Amino acid sequence: MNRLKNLLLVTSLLAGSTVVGQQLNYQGKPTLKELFSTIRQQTGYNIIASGNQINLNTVVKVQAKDKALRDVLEEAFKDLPFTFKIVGKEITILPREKSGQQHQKQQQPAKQLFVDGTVRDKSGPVELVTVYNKSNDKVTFTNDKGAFKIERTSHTDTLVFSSVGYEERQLAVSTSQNTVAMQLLQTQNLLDEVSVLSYGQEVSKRLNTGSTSSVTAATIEKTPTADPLIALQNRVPGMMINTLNGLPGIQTQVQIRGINTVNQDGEARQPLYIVDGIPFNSNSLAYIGANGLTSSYLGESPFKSIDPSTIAGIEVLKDADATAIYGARGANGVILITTKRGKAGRSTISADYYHSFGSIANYVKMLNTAQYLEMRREAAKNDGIELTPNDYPDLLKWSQTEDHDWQKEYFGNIAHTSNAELSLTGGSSGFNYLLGGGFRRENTVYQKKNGLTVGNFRSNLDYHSNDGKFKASLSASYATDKNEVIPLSFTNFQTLPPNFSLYDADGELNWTIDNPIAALERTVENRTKNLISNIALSYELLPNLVAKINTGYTRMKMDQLAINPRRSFRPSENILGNNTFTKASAATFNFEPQLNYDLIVGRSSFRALLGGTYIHRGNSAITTSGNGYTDDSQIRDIHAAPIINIEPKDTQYRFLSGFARVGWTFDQKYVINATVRRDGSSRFGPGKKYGNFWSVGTAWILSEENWLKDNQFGLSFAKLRGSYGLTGNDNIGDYSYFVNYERIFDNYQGQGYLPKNPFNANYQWEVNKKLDLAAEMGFLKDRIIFEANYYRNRSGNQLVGYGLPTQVGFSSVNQNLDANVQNSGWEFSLQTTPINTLAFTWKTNFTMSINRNKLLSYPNLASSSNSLTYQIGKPLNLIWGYEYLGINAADGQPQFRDVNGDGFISFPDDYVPLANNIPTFFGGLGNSFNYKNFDLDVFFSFKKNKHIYNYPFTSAGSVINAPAIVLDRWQHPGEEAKFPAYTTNSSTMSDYNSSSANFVDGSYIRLSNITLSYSVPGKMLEKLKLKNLRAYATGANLLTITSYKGTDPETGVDMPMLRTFTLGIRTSF
Amino acid sequence: MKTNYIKLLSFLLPVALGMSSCNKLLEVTPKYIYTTDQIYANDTMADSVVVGMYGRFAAYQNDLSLNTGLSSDELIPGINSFNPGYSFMYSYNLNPFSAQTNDFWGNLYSIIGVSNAIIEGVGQSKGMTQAGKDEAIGQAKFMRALNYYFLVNLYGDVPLVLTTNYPEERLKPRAAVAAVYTQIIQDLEDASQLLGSDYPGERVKANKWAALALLSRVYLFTKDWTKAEQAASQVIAQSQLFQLGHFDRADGGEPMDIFTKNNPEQILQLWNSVGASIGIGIKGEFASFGVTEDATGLLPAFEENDKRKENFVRFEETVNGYQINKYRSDGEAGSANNEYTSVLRLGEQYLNRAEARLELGLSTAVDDINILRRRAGLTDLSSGLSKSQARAAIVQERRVELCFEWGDRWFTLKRLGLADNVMKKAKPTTWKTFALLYPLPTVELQNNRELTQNPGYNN
Repeated sequence: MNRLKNLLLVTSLLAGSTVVGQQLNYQGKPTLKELFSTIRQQTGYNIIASGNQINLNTVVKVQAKDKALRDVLEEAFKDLPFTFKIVGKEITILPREKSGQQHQKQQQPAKQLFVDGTVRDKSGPVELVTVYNKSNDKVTFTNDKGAFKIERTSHTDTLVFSSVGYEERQLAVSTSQNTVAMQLLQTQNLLDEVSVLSYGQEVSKRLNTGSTSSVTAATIEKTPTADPLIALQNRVPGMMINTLNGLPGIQTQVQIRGINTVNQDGEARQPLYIVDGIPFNSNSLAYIGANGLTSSYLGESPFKSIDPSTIAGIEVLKDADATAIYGARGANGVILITTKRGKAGRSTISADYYHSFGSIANYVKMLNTAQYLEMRREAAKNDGIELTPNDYPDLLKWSQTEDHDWQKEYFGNIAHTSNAELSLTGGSSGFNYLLGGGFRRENTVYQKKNGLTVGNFRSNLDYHSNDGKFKASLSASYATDKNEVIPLSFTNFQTLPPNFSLYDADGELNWTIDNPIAALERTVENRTKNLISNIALSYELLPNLVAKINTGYTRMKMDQLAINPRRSFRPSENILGNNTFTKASAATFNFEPQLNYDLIVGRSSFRALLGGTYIHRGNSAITTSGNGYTDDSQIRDIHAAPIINIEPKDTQYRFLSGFARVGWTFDQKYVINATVRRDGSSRFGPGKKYGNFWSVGTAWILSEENWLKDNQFGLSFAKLRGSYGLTGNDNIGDYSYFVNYERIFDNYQGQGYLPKNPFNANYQWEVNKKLDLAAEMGFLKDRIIFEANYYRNRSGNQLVGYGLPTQVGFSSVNQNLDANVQNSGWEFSLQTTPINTLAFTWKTNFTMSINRNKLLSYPNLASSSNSLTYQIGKPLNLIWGYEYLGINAADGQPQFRDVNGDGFISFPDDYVPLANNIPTFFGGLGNSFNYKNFDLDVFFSFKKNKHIYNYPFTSAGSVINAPAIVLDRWQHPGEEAKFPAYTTNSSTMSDYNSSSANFVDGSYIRLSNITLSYSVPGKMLEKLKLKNLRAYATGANLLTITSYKGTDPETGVDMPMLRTFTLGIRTSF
Repeated sequence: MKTNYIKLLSFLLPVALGMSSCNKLLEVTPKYIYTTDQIYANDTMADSVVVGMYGRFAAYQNDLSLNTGLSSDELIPGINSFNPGYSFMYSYNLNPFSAQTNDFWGNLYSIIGVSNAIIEGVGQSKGMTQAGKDEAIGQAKFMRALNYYFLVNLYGDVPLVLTTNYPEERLKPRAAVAAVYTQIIQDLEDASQLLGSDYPGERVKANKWAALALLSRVYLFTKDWTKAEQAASQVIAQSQLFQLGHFDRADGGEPMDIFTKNNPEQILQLWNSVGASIGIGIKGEFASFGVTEDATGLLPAFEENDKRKENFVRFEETVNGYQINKYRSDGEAGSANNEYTSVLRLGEQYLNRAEARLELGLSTAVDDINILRRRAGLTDLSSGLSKSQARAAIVQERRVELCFEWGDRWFTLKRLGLADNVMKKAKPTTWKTFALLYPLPTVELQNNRELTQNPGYNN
């Protein structure tokens, strides 16, 4: 151990936001130790010196003002017996004499002895490892193939291998050994992982003043889904991702730190997405429910155009400090997605292929035929209703023995997904490139042929001039997909009576009741094309002054054809066929000039950013619908439609802002960042267009203080940080500050126009105030990293569609509402590395989020249209209903609390807020194990949510099947039962369903993901001439522990997320 | 090379940073959307709002005839009815939170909102001609009157909103029925002055005669018999424009033409075309309803040999009962449609005048009734009928002549104070006197705390 001290790592690498220049400012006569320390602070360079050769107390003379580092060192070492070598970000100090001897020895090659070797880690050769021979103080570095050659003595030598991010190792080399092979173990220091911040700024976690969380490619790759956001589920503290439905390509709901607005519009609650520096249109152009089959309109996820395996990392920005620079658009948080780029080095081809098998993990237990018929009969008897063939065909006309389990019959198949990716990367010193493409095909558990097919192509190019002053990068990606999934309603099949026949004796559709199979005739075909392109240029105008321009253009186009043929409707209703052709596009142009300036004065480093943003977004759509088709064979021909209606739409959005950000880091201990910003939006009327926003963030790295540096309790890192700021929100829709006369769908011998909204030009920016406080700690050389974060967001001046009595001609007006919503919460994360050896490593990652949402104020809430939606002091997601008091043992009727005491149970006076539909907490626990070439990842997610909506059962009066829970019903006076007496009365059941009786605990612990992978060892790879070969198997959504009786506590009554098994292989050569 | 970049950047950066003060960059030019100034810039543009107003009205009106038919003694929910709301209508089980009638409130007021916007927008227009302004304002006032007529008859006292100034109008309480009628009459009198006296195209927009025709009916509600008589007479006198239609033509074989497009019987119709979602009246839903056939029902109300019985209702074998047969000449779905929904027609004017004349003590009242009876193939009523007999005859005649037309039966029973007695007999188990008025939608009471609920409804 004591010999280790020989190699003195004066500093550790600190890649901070302040670290850019190689310029140095110093005047005076420092000791070498002081000088190295200054160099570290000002430049962030590592200094490696062998302590037994260098007296660190040697005084040198330095006169540096904006002087290049190399010049400073040359001057300082002028009279000293040292020289130095700068490789990458490391400065190695070498004794001059010895290098002189080396020089002499080179003149006498015969006497020289060398040892050759290679250094690698698990994944391959490691470049730039310092190899130090203790026996003769020789130092060298490995080349890009991990190879080195170092002079040795004629005795047994000890080689020391060190490199940033690796554990240091020593190796004794006997005289007979000429070659050595060394394997290094990575020390994952999470604190030094670089986070990409707004506008491409980079900062290490160590010096970050904002609240951000990152997810790396390695994690994203483990979730084989079309939508990369699903990979983030329960892995990012403070970020809640809800999957709404298990169909392919369905949009997810993302919430960062709760809901900030009383505005019910989903778009107003969305975070901002930035892909490679360009805002990404996260709003769906296509609605899966275009054929009216699903009760809710589910959007298609635009993210399906980004293959998760092409993502290098996702960064989630949460607090004011991190998001203020996005101003208005960052109010709900920002999600930065960075895709992989080309790397210098020889050309590499990477390929990835996987195939998934998905199935529904859990069905709701429904009544079988005998139980179902008994229920129908008993309900009619209870209510004294005579059975008639018209109302009771299931009892009097249909088979009494057929017994279908419709869920399994129609949703019991396996859905297949195949996904392939191929990419080529490479580059020389000035030029890097990446070319890639992928293909994905996914179908559903109920239909083989209609699925989702995605193809994508992407390329990027990075160039920098020889002097490094000019840089350019260019990216373009294009994805095209076809979604023909018919969103069959899962619940329609669930509730289909078990003795129903879908077809009659003649093989025609049976229309005695609504036939869910007919839905398969109502097809929707979506074709989406998504182009994302981006050019970024930067030039170093003066030393430390860099100008950048980032320009992007994205365009998404969607073609949709929804067909409802005549045969898909009940014949007696005589509804004619109709179709809808939709062509929609959304294009965004983005222009961002900026100027970066860095200044280092003594122990301070400053960084300034001045920039502007201009965004122009255009959305347009033309909907052509044909109506009145009598002949289904013509239904794809719009010209055959007796009635054609064409509805064009076009909206423009412009956004303009200027911003400045200043950062000051002192002594690598104290960091303060401030941002100001002025935003203008076309969504506001004259005089209201601009809003000013700002933020301040600060951090104190306690562990850099001397009094804490060599502490006894294993604390290796400690930081306190906080931020406060204002961000805005302009999510109110375009143009509504003037009365919009819009074309109406209903023709009346010509095109009619009607006013769409009342006049209000006075509304303006919604303001969010965000407070964030956090403590970050590392223990045992950062093998344990703990972070606790408290936040409190208050948003006021809410932009909402305020309810109006319709006597004024409109039901709402857009205005600012002086309502205040508070989201506060705690986020915890704990990352540990319990075992880290060459053969076996074990790492854990735990996150947990607690969010409390509260409506602080709402003027005249009681008289507003939201009086039965919100309550002061309560969360926005309130569930209202009757308070259930149990079953009256005398008559089996459900009882509810009569709040106003008028003797009746009635809406709205007896409605009370029952519960909050927000999770008490949620999070995830990941464990990754590595044993030799095997990796095993196990990820659990959990959510505590005590109140989710249970399966609503309409009533036994309709021809509808019931879940098996109804079996425990009241039958005889005096009986205790869980479920009310069977009844044909739908209003009794509707009261029951909207009461607290029907809200149940939806908490769960889920084994979300297990991935086992095997990487072919290096030696075999060399034989196969491959760089990398990995095979993996993943199981997702494997096991859920919950008391919830529905299919899935996440999707509620809708189609659940599938349980999938995936087999895949990944290689590069 | 290097200096070029510097030049480029040093040019772009100040431009970019100066952007935030430049309002031009935030200007947007909406497409397919017009501002108030643009839409009332000239006569043609302004007319597109009138077209929109009619289109919206035609789209909204479908259910009014049917639901009021269920409330009165005209209709029952059909066996194949899939809408439980119709059963609730029939049995007066109306929950103010979710009642089927709730749409009427918002729909009628939204048309009134458009008419208010037209009246204000046209009034301030600088580019329109006086003729264009008269036409647009006349149409708006006619529509405003028509929709308030429905509102008072469905709900009783209703807020009287006459401007688009929502910050003030949002808190308006209910105005007395009489005050609403005063406004309706004012609007219709204005409209009769402003609108033209012919039909430039089809009979699908109001003109002077439509305003007078509605006025004659409204005067019956305000018991202004003289003016009712005058208005009806003015319309009936336009024989070059208006003639009664026929049940069967002299040449035989031709079906009833009363409701065909632009028939001289028609004073105002709602335009529609095949497959259009608007203006189809009740025919799209005929299967969901049955005609009342019991002793108090509509079917026995037709006299023997009344041609209206075979033309206005028809026997449907599949359900073994009678169904609505007005506006059904399109036959097979998808074939060309030659009938439009009627809003105002000449036949009613005779009945309006008959009632006015009766109340004025004129003996000619029965003559007007007989004009319609003759057309229906019935014998004349005796001119010696007592006043109460004649009154009953008018009610009976309105019942069979105007069945399923815009709640005429329901409104007439209420107007004459007959509803309680008639409905008690027709639906002894479910009738409630408070059902004469529909409930105000709960959401309206929430958004305007000055509103009060109609009696009898739990809120």
